Amino acid sequence: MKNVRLRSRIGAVASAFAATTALLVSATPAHAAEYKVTDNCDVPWITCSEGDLWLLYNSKDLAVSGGRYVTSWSSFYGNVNDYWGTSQYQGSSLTTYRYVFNGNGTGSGQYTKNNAASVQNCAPADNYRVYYNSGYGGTSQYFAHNEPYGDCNLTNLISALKNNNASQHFA
Amino acid sequence: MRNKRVFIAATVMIATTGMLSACGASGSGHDAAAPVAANKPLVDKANWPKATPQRGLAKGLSLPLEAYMQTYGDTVTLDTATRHLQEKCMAGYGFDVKLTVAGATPPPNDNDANMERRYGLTDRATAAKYGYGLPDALTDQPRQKVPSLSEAQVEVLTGHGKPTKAGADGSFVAKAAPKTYNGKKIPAKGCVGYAAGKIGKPAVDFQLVSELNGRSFLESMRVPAVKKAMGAWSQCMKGKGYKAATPTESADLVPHTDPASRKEIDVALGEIDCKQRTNLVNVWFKAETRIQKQQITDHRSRLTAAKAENTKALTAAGTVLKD
Repeated sequence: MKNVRLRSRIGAVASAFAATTALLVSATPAHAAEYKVTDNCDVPWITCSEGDLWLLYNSKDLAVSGGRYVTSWSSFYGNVNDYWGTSQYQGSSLTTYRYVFNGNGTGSGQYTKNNAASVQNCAPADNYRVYYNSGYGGTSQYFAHNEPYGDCNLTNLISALKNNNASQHFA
Repeated sequence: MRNKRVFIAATVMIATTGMLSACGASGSGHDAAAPVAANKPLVDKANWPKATPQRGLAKGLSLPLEAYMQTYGDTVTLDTATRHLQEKCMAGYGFDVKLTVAGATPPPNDNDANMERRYGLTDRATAAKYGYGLPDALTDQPRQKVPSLSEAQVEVLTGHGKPTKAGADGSFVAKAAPKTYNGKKIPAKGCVGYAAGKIGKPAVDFQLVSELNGRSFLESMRVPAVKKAMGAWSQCMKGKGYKAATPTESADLVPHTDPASRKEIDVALGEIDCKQRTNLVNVWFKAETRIQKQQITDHRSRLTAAKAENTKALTAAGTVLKD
């Protein structure tokens, strides 16, 4: 595997915040609010620890150029029932966070669900699996964890899951 | 001093810095395995997936390619043995480091085939309670942290120093570790490299079986018998007021919430009841079984080689864990 410089998570988080603030509430029915985030850890009701799975817009060959990431990505901790987003009722109003790719490069701002080509498991201890259907259904692919302080393993999604990534679970 | 570029999970970097300020620069490395909820064991094998679905329409089903896949039990064994070797290697340098425990966050399925939900939902009892979600035991996310380590501990563990941020592009670099620690030679890639060499895990490649398993999934949906059963299922769903050509579509009809809404549960139950009525799961499974048998014939040598690597790694892991 070729060595690349990895852009910092600080950048990713900053752009996530930027996305959130810029978007705010769009087309709001009386009792629904919708936001966009590039990292599920920015959703208020999701508690994160360390160890994210990154979903990249481009495939492995196109994601990196000149030692830099030229693709956009989103990152997710833990179980994600649906990459389309997560919703929760607060009283009678439904709040939804949609997952989008960050502002790093190709694919910037696009929805993550059914739109990723490669995956990078940067978690030092957690293995993950990506699924074809929302709710952990359909065929799936396993992504082994990283070693402590080690290389993140950038892997293409299998052809069935390329642009058909719908959910993820610890594995 | 020679700088070596490494891939680094930036999350590790940030988490480490955070922990260092909390735990002091020396880092005892002993905070790894503490469960969040003290009343629950970190690893509960009862929650691990079984080899085949235990109930519902997919009960007992297993596809031919599954024989070439790594099970969750295999994964846990390999991770446990690897971490055991890493800890033991660290102890050889006088470092008492406890790494994270494997097996604490089991998946709902034993391998990439995902028979439990491969053809969409099949377990009515679970759907009646959780819709498209999962039982609590499979959604718990016990938080374990990689222990905070000193610079010397990182060097011995990985063969390079702690990653540092370098340059305006936000990349990370780490300097190569010294050749020795307290006069004792550090292995290539540190104790991580030492453990990997003993187990042989990096050589195990399951990309092919996963790819084939994905192709058979898509191909099976083009088999006439499956298309016919799927059409009947879709009609049945229509009769219940839902527009869905496939189970992939029914899974997206209502947004999943936790707890599941009545609407979500109704769709989930409708999906399963229509499968039962149209025999979709059995028809689909039979068609896919035929496709996978042919795939195995076509790719037998590479599949067998990957399987043999896995068996070899498991044997090595078994020996390590008996120590």
